[in-house]
Amino acid sequence: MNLGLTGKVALITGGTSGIGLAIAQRLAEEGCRIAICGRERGKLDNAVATLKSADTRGFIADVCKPADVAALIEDTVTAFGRIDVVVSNAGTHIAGRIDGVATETLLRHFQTKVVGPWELARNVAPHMRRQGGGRFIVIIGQTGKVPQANAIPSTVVNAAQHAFVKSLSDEFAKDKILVNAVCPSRIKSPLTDGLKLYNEMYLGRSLEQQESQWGAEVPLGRWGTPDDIANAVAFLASERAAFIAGTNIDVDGGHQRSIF
Amino acid sequence: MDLGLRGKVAVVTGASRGIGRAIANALLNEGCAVAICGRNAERLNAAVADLSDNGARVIGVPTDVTSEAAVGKFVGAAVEAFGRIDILVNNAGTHIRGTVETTTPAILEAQLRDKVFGFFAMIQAVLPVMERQRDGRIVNIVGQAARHPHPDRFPSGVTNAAVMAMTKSVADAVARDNIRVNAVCPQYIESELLASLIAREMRERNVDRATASAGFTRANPLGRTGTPEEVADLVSFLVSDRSNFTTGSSVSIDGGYHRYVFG
Repeated sequence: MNLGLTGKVALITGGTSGIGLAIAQRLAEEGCRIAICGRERGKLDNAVATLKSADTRGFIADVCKPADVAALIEDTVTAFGRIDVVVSNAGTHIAGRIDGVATETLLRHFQTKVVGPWELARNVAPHMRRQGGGRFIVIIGQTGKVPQANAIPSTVVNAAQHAFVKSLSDEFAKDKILVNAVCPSRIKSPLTDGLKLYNEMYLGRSLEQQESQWGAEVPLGRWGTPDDIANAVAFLASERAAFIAGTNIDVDGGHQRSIF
Repeated sequence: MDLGLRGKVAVVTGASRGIGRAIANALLNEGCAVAICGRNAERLNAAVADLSDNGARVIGVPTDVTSEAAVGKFVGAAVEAFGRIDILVNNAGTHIRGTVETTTPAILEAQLRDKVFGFFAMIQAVLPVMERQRDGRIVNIVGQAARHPHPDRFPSGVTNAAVMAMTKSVADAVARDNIRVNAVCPQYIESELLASLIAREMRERNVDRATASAGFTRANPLGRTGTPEEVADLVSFLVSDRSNFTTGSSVSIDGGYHRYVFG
C-alpha cells in the first residue's frame, strides 16, 4: 500500500524511546523527514543516532512548558520548511489510588498529556492551514476507555485526551487537518517495564507473573509491540486515511470491552 | 507499507458493486486471491470480468447470504479454488430507513436476515478453515446507524448494533486461535446506496440534487463524502499483518460524523 508519506515532515513527541521511537522509525521508513523531542540531551542524541533515517532532527523540549512547545514547532518548521504530521506521544502512565497520588503529580500528568497536545495543536495549526491540511495523532493509553481503580491519574487524564481529540477534530476538519487517536494497551515498552516493577513492589507479583498475567488477560493472549502502534499511526498519517477524522483505533489485543 | 497480504486468500460478500467491489479490488492489488459473491449473477459476472484484468485470481459465486446452503457452497468454492481462506469481509446488506411506525415486521426481518444471520453464516462457514490455519482476519462492515440510531433509521440501527455485538463476541471467542475480528463503520460514502438516498430526499422534500446532496456532505465535519476506495484502504490495513494486535475493535470512517468521544 502506497501511503504517500514520502517527503512529509513528521514531529513525534516523546520520541526518544519505546512507542515514540518506533513511530519515528516507521515514519522514517515511509520516507518522512523526522523531528523528535526529549527533555534530556543525552537520550535525545542517542535516539537520533539510533534512527535509521535520512533526515532527522532532535530538539530539546518539555511538552509541559507552553514556551517549549511553541519553540519546538518553530524549530521544526525552520529546519524542514513545513510540518505535515504531529504525533503527540509524550507522557507516561501513572498508577495509584486517589489518596496515594499527590496533587502536583496529577497536575503534571495533565500538563504533559492534555496541555502539551493542546499547545502543539495551537502552534501547529497556522502552519498546517497554510499548507492546506495536516495530521494530528494522539496516543491515548487504554485506561482512557477502561478505567481502573489503581490507575486513577491516567484514567482521568486519558479520558480528557479522548474529549480533546474529538473536539479538536470538529474544529480542525474544515481545514483538512485530521485529528485521530491510537489507543495502546499491553505493549512491551520501557513504560510497561516500569509498570511491572510498580506492581512487583506494590502487589507482590513477580515480573514473570505480571507479564504472563497481563498477556493472559487480553483476548489475543499475548503482548503487542511498539511496532504495532507505529503501523496504526503510519496508516492514520497516510493519504490512505483521508476520510478518517475524530476517531481512534484500538491496538490492544482486544482489551477494551465496549462494542462501539 | 508492505501489508504482507501477497498470496493470502480473501472472501468478500456483496462485492458486485460499491464498497464491496472496491474492497475486492484493493485486496487484489495487494496480491490476494479473492472470492466474491452477490445475489445478482449478471452483475456479479460483470464484476468478476472487470476485476480479473491483468490475470488477477478472482472467482465469483452467485450467493444469497441468507441461505446457509448457498453460503456453504460459496465458501467451499473459495477453498476449492484457492486452498485456504485468510480473510473474510462481511459487506453484503443494504441500509434500510424507516421509523418504528413505518417499519413492518417483514422489513425488519429482511434486514436482520441479511446482516445478522448473513454475517453469522459466513463467519461460521469460514471459522473451521481459519482455526485449522491458526490464522484469520474478519472485518464486518457496519454502517454508522449502529452508533446513531436516528428515528428514521430503525431497521438499520437495530440490526447494525446487533452486528457490533457479534463482532466483539466473536473476537473474544476466537482470539486464541489467532483470528482477529473487527468492524469498519462507514458513513456518507459515494455509492449507489447514497445516490438512492439523495434521490429519495429530492423526491420527498421536493428539492434539487445540489440541495439534497449538500445535506449529506454538510453532515460531517470534513464536509465531503468519502469514496469506496477509502473504505477499502482501511479494510486492507485492518486485515493486514500490520494490524496484528487489533481485535474486537471498530473503526469509524465517516469524516468525523459520529459523536462518540470514545468510539
